[in-house]
Amino acid sequence: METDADYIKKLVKERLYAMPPDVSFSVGNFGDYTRNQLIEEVDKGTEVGKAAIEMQLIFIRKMPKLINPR
Amino acid sequence: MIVIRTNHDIPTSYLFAYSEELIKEAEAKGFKVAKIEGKEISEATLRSRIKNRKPRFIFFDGHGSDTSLFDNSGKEFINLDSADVFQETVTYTIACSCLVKLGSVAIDKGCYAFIGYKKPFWIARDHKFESTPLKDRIAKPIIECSNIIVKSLIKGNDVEESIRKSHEKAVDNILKLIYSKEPLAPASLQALVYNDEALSFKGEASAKII
Repeated sequence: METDADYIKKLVKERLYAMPPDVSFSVGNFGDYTRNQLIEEVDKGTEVGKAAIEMQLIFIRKMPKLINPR
Repeated sequence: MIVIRTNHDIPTSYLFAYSEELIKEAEAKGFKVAKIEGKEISEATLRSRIKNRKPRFIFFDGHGSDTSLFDNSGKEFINLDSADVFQETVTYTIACSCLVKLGSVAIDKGCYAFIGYKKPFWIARDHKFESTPLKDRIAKPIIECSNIIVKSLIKGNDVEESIRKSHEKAVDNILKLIYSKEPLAPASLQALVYNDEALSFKGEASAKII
């Protein structure tokens, strides 16, 4: 059975896959990651992977408030 | 004002490049800007410049952690024990997570206001522009929103107003990115939203640098 954590991981990976491969992310002290490397980090559950999940979740939660603040 | 800029990897090269215009703008407004860069970055150099210049504003861009700032070799040069270095200044750090502990301790040790990020600072980039960061349209909207804090402070706005301006710029850029036809825009958008959420300050909301 798929847990919430598995579902979130899958969601985040799908969202990253939707980006073109020529994007890179500099994640503070963690270093630089291509889209595919970031997906691998999410898969492995590393600290960078967790940071990528947090970024996506904050984005999903915050976007509606930013574009429609009332 | 004192500007401390590292430049030893891709993200710091981006922040370095985008901070040039801030220095020019500050000098045009009459600020005497003391730059500490490269191998010169150390606690001793910073203390010496502070002693001579008595700056109202310290601006750092580079790598950091919740407790430290890192020099041009990636080694810690300011930590919780040396956070008194920020006393009687407004300090702004574009660096990961510094606000969490370093910011709090700096305020306890007499810093007027410490502006920074509660979480890692993300920069989304287009591979093609690694060596020409100013041409990178993916990174630009992100760094623009963090740099506006400096632009606002040197215009005489207080800390709270400067943060508000950054949030407003973020909303403007977010709306532009949503409707952008640029294929990499979603990456920029996500990093921008994340950084905007992480930006905050400790200390006096009404603190100014002029």
